[in-house]
Amino acid sequence: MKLTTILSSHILAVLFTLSMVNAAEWSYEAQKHWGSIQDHNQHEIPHIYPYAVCGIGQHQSPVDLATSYASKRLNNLKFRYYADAPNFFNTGHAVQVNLSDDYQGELLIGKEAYPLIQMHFHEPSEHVIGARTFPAELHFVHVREDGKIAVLGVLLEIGKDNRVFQTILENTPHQGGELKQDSGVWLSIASLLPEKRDEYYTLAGSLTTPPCSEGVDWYVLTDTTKISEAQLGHLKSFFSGNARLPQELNNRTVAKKK
Amino acid sequence: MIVKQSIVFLVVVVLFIFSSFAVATNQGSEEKNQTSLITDSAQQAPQHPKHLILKDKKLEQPESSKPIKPNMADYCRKHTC
Repeated sequence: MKLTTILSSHILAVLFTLSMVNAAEWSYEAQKHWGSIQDHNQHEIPHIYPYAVCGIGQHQSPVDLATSYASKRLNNLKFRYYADAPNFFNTGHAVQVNLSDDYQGELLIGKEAYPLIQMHFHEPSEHVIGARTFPAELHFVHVREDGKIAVLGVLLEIGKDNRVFQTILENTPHQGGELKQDSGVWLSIASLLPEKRDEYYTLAGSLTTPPCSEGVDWYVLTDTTKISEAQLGHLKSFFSGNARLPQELNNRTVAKKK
Repeated sequence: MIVKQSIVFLVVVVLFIFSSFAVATNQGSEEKNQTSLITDSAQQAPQHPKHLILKDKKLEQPESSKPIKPNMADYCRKHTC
């Protein structure tokens, strides 16, 4: 009887400690419950639910792009992606490349410039086109000084090796949360873009990871970048299934630049 | 016996009332002193022209009331976004 009491109190103590340590942590396996994850360090609503927008937001990403309508009145995209010696980061959720602090590369959307901050990979793709899911998806994250975010999505398909992607895989740390700084490895960022860059899908959406903040402008290129089967396997050795499922459009329309 | 107890009780009550009165009087005199100090300092304060006072107010804006811009770029370097 005594032993049972001691054991159960120890188990309760361990569970309590774990729940405190894992406050506001999230996983792709439990993505349907992101909105109800609690931060046990907070005591007031809405702070108790830091990812509530994931559950109640009406402009969430990713989405199914199949219902797009063609438009010729959309902005042109200009890619000013220069070579860089970036930092390679395993975020614990994705393979990520952080451009150096003085990086000058940017995406021009019409006349508005959005500095490129980082790139990361999802496996499989987050955006889908009808029933079609792609093997992987690359996100170029651009953030303006005023905090406005524009993300360029590039769908990845199986084809020949991509040399730049290989360099990223070979330099990314295997430990979650580990950052490889000052590697001196140069990347030709533009080599990760597909050949055809003037056609894209666009809509207003959100970050695809908690806190799922809305107000993000999305641009997903219609053409795909090719990576080899072996490279996809290598990407999976870091993270597999790190993709949020398509969200409801909720009266949004997907426009397609032709 | 009852008479003895009553006397002790009365003495205690009288002592309590006396001490309360003494404390109240002391507090009152302290407040008076503070009020007179405030009045003195207000009288001694130099009379700034209106435009100078406005300028001072601007400079004295507390840090916490200034708008805070979230550094999204920094956030997106640390998280998947």
